[in-house]
Amino acid sequence: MSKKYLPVRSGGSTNISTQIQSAFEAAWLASCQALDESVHEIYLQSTETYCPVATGLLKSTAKDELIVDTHDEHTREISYGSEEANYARIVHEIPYAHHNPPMAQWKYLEVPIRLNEQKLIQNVKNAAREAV
Amino acid sequence: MTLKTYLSDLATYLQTGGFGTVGYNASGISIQIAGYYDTVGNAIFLTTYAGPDKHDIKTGEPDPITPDFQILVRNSDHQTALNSSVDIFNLLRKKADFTLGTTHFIDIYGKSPPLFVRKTNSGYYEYSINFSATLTE
Repeated sequence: MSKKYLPVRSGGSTNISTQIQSAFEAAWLASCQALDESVHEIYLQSTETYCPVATGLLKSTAKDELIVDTHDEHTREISYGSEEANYARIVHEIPYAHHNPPMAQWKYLEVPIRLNEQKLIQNVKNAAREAV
Repeated sequence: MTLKTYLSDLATYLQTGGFGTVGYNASGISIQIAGYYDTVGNAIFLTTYAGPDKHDIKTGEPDPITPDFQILVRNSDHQTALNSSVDIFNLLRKKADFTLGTTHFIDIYGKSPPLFVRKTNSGYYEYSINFSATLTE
């Protein structure tokens, strides 16, 4: 059992405030990086293991994008589909037995997300904790 | 075994609620478990898929099981397909601490309102509703 404290040197409230601000910024940046890495891992699992491949078009439309990156929000989005591959939703929602590769299946995006969501949360928590 | 029976308990519950008949019903709405068939006609399909494993053993008690499942509603009449989907979503989306058949549900959580998937080549409208369940073993 241990508890970590922020290393705050004496020297007045301005100094303390600056150090706390720095610690928050470090934790924020580390959290964002952990989220990026964890989401990319899910993206790779989805595209390489779960996404059904017939012509390869559906797989080629997979995107892992940073869609919001402000001082208080950092959002990534994994998506499939395009005008040509407008069947992405059908393949995802209709429980056919899909083939090729062997573990390909419907819910090719939702399954890797659900399997990894606790790990993602833990990665972000750990990164923030270690940064301060 | 709960995981093997929870969908059939849910199917029976939907039958009791008047949504269809468990098994094949040529003149009505079939409620089918763990299978999707183009030839069934008007139907409700229940299919389980992987959920998260989010519980650690800390208390010594068995962990709850957390499967996800889909209810796919198909009907030749668009409004019927939509209405059934919404009714099933509202029926199940926030249920907690109840027993159906041999299954005790700690809760069922509706992930999102019904999603229109497609109109099939044979003229059926399909809506997908997705849930997470927490079951005691």
